[in-house]
Amino acid sequence: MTTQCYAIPCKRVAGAIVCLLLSAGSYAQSVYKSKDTSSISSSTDSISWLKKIPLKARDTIGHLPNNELFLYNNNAGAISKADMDEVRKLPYNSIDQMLNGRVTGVDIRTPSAEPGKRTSVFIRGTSTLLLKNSDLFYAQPTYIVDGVPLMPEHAFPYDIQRFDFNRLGTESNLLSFLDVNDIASIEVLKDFAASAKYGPLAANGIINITTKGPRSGRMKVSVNSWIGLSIKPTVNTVNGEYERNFRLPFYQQYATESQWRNFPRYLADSTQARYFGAADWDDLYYRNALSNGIQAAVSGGNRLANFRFSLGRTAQQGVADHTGMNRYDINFGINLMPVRNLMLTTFINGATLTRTRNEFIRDRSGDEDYLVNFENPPSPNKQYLQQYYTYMKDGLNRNRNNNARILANLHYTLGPDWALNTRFSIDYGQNFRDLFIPTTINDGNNFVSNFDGLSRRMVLDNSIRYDHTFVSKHHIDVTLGQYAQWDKWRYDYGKAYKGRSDYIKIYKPGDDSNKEGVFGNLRLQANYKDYTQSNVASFYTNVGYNYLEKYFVNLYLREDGSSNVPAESRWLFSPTLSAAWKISNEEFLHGSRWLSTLNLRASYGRVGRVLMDEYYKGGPIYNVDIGWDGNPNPGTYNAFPAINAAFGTGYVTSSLKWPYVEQLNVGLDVGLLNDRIHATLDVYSKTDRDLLLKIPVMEETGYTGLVKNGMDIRNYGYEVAIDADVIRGSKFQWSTGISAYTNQNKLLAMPDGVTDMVIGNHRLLVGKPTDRYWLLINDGIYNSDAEVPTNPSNGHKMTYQGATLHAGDPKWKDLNGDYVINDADRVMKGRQVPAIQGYFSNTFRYKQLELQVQCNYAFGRKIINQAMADHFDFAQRDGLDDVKGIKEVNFWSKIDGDYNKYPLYNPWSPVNAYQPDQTLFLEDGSFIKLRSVTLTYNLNAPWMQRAGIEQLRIYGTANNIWRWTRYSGGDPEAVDYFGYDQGYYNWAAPRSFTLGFNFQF
Amino acid sequence: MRYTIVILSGLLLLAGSCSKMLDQPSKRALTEENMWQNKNDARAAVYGCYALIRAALMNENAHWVYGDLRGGDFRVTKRGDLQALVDNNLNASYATTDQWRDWRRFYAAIAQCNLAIEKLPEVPKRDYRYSNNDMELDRSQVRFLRAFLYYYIVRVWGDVPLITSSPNGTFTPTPRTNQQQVLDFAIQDGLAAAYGLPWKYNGQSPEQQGDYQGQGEGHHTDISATRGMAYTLLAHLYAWKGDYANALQNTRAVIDNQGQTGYNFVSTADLTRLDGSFRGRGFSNIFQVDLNFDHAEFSTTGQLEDWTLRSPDIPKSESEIYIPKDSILSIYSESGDQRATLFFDQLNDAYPVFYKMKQVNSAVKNPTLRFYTSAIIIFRYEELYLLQAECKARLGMSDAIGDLNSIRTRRGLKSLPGNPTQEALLDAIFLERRRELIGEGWYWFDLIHFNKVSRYTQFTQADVDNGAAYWPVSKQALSTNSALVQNNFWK
Repeated sequence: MTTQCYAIPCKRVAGAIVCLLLSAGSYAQSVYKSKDTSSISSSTDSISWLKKIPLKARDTIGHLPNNELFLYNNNAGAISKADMDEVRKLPYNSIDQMLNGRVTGVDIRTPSAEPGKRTSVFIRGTSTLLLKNSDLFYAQPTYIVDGVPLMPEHAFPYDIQRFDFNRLGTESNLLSFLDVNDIASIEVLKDFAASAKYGPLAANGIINITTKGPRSGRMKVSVNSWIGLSIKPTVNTVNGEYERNFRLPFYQQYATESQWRNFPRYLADSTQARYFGAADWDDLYYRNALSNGIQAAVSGGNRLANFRFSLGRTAQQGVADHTGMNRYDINFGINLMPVRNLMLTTFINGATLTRTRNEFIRDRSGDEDYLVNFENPPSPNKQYLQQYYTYMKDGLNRNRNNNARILANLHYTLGPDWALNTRFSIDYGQNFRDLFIPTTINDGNNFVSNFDGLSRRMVLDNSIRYDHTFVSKHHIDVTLGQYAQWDKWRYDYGKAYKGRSDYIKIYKPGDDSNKEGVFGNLRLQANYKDYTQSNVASFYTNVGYNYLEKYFVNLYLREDGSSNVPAESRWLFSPTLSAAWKISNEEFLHGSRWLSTLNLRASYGRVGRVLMDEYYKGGPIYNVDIGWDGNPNPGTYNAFPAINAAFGTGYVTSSLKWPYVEQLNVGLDVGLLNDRIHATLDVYSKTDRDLLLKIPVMEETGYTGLVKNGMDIRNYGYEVAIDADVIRGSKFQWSTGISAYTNQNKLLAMPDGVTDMVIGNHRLLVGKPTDRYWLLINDGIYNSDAEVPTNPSNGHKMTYQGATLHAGDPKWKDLNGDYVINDADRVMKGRQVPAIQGYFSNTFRYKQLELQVQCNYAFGRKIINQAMADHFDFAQRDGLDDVKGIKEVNFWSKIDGDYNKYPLYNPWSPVNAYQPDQTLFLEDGSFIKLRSVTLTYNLNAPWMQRAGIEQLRIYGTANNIWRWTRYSGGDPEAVDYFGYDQGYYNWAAPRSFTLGFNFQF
Repeated sequence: MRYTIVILSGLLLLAGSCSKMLDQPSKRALTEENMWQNKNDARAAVYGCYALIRAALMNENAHWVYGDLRGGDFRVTKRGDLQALVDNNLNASYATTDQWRDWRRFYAAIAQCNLAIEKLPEVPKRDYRYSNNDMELDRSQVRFLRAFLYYYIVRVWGDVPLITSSPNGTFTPTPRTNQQQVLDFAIQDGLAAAYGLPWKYNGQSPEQQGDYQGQGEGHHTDISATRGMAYTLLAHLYAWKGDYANALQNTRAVIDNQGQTGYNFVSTADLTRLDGSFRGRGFSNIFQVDLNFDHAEFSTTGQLEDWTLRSPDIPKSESEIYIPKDSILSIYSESGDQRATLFFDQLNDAYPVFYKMKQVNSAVKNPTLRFYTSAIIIFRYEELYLLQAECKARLGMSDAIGDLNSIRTRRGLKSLPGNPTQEALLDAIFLERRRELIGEGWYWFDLIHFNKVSRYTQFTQADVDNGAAYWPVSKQALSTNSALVQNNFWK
């Protein structure tokens, strides 16, 4: 069905290869940032060229705006953008890195600095619940590249996974596909005045990326290149001696005879060089890592046909575990004006990204869905470890993502007032992962798996616009349009255990008769295929009016239909009203010497949130969910297929509706002294309504819950950014910028009037924030059984959930005084999202020399130091046949922290004394970081002009040089998505230095 | 202008296809209107019932947790959660204990049965291939399974809520029903099931004609519900109720119909060998919850082997649980007991290996890939004989000792001499059950049934009367069902 839908318009569009260009210039010159004369952006050219085209009412910026061509950013939008000219010098290879600490309203979480690994970005708080990895996929903003909404990854492979670590597939960061030198601007569109035109894609905010587009004019070539060095981190390595000494006090104080008997063998014999030799594993594990990038572009043409072509390559090594990434990208853009008034723009981009991933045993176990024997951890000694790494070379861990993005835009102007536009785009992504684990490191059994994932988004957008100014005062524009989006995700996954030999690394099922495949026994092979889709159809209209460029009003109305919502509630109406008053254009401010800009703006709007899963469109469902803990995927019983009511998914109530987001934003832009000082203030309140939530249902129904609309979450706060040119001398200039972004979060309602609910280790309480930890309060330790309080009413000793507390157990506060420590004694405490965060940047210029210093900070943020908790919790973890028992080679490093703070609890106690969810492990995660220092030298000599060289500059950068934090466990940004520091699983960004040049002629 | 027309027509074409583009049936789940349409739906739903029972019993080794570990025969090497279990500290705070306290998985299986019992009769009207006869057979199987589920959870939790129909969107708090009433309900189901089930799936009975599910008799043996299974279950239901006369009538219905059922005793060697009783599908098992390597139904978790085996069978130096040598010697104190040697291995190590189940298929050996495939034996012929011996003993019938001896002699023990007192005889039967059924999920329930909890564990009779022998209910269950009260002892 789908195919027919798009085939027809697609053909027409493609057939009519004629069109008018809209430049892909940019906002490179921001209105209020200091102008950078050396910018190589093509936007200026484009603009001047565009002015010749009879396109009235064109924005002053040659901006290929969005999925809907005519609705350029209205004056009321809340937008934050990064200074790309600075970013371009830094060794960043993904969009989130480029934004980190440079924009307001964005919270970026990078659990690991492994090159090219998936990260997470939240704009204006997290409006859905974040409890497990798959939840992150639903909370990401939409990235728009030149008007093409990028296809996000889907969380559905998690359905067949036993462990909540990595998703199957490459786990590559899709935002790594763009070369920074191709990017003209990145903007964060935060309020709905700026983003409602993207419809449901805007639910989590929009990050709008404009690449450098074709331009007319003289042929220009630019070459950019850099090399960098990341410094090997210093690690406090330890060996068996340290671990043994750490544990002995616990044994001496608490261990019973049988617990003594279980003293781990690898720590028992101190003569063993394997564990008690030199702790020099870091020599093999860490390295000084090199990275480099090169990009070249050529652009030019005349006004009837022009183009830009670029090629880029980036390679980055990680400092740890021999990780790395490698990207090649190719971009081609062309503008054609075959006949008067008709413009065709075509962009074609391709990129391929390969990644060398970490070799964590935990992650491998997740891939294998199988736990090998963890009794003996890897050796801390290089000699022994070397063998392991040699064995590993027989394995395969290939990860490749291919991405293609195609855009065709057709624009036709009819007379002075009318215009038509059609846009068609495809974003197509493939990701392949080939994994082979040899017998030598896998308990004698090898494992092979192949993942082949595909995602595809097609967008078609048609619109017509009328635009006119009456009696030179009243400007009105009306746009009508319709939009369609087809999303499809698919994957094939095959895995097999116990192949015949390590030489056969391919997985190919055999036939049933001989029960053997190429790899091995047919029964030990499994295939999974899954497919899901989501279609959206929309109609929209926009009416804009302004009076003398002073008063702006804009009304945007949209009707969206989704294929993932039941038919009866399929269509959602979403209006957005925005207005701006450009006070500085009023006569009474004309000629003001100190006030140059004053713009007051406000918007209120609503957009829908697409349900990414197909489960909710027709009431209760049936699926195959007959697994148990550790075995999620059986599909048959006695070889017969089984199906059951979806007890695990939950009882899907019929007539579910669209969840939607409402947002109010009020902003003020102030420019003083000819915009020498510029400030932007935004106050926002964003409310997600009717979110789906699985609420608990009577367990005796068999269901894990009831899926209903009705969860409302509000995020509110303010954002302020001030930029100032402090010194504007002819030789020396200094400009500075500072920002602050706050976010508060509040759960307003849950379905069915539920006000209090527990999911895993989280509590949801209406009226309270959703991002708090839920912790027991530590109040010391019971030194003797006698110290444990006795309930006077029944003479029972205090218990932890019914298990009596003893000497050596933690003294937890009994908040409700019932002599039972349980969930009722937990408090919601500690923010995961910083209360306030922002940046502080300074740029100094002296003649051709430029120094830029970029800091960012976050305050009011807490971390659970789980790495520490786990280390103390050795008794419940060591040697266990469970993921908890896994020890990586990094186990042999001392966990940073203040050890005196932690009481010597009985680690064997059934009350789980060292559970991470207690205030003992809650720490302040605030920080100030000196993220980058950049020194640039712009060559500007007369000979350059003669030689036709437009720009030549060299620069050096230093990154992650200094930080201040009260967090005892290292880099406070290197924690998992949910605020838990998992120690060595969370790699901190390394210190690095780069050297590069830009050359344009 | 040409292009305008192109664009406008594009607009129009798309508008027309809008509803088509949005009417996409779900590819990842079946909705109510697409389910229960044909024979395949019906049969898959029936196997869903079986499979959910398997999921409930295997989840975190629940079957052995409920049936064996609390009794204390097994000791724990290092896992804290298992130690708490062996110490009968059932309120302990571990992720696994949360799961064991929780009965949702059992109720999911019950709910699936309720749904199937209600919806199956609609299918013959929609699919001519699915006759009423087919439907009756399938519904009888589901009835048997529902009866079994209630039998199982009554033994674990005592009084439980009795849910007999699907919720249809309304969820009303349901209190616990008295255990006796739950048993009565299960007996009704069991009787109805026995009436509708064949003795064998050989296509030669009015209840079951032709190949069932395209497979011959052997494929279904011990796995798909039969009349023999229903009678066995009924015997247990009556026995748990204390109605030994009816229990005996049902054990006889099985044993006396040996010609129909084909059930027989198994030798100790065949019981324990690879692909012996724990692969099953043979004459000695009556009802097994199946896993089978040939069907690629295996698991790394949920099997007792996961906790009892160690090197050299699997790459693990210590098992999670073991039976100490002195316990073995005291449990199997009589000389000549074949079980003492065949059920255990490496007796002289600190941690002997419980070696009764070791269903590690040759395809996953050398070196071992820990995929376990042993079936859970719910009922087998020896167990039924011991039940019959108990019924007879309780009723004061003299031939009880003969039934007991027929097991003893098969395991290398001497026959007990005639006419012991009823108490001594029951004790002997109890001990024989302990020896024979060790590690098969019976011991704790036998302690309850023979009223020996206070004698063999730390609990006093007062504790037992207060509910100590049953499991506490999970906090999730308590918080979602306001009519539910916690077991008195575990409050």
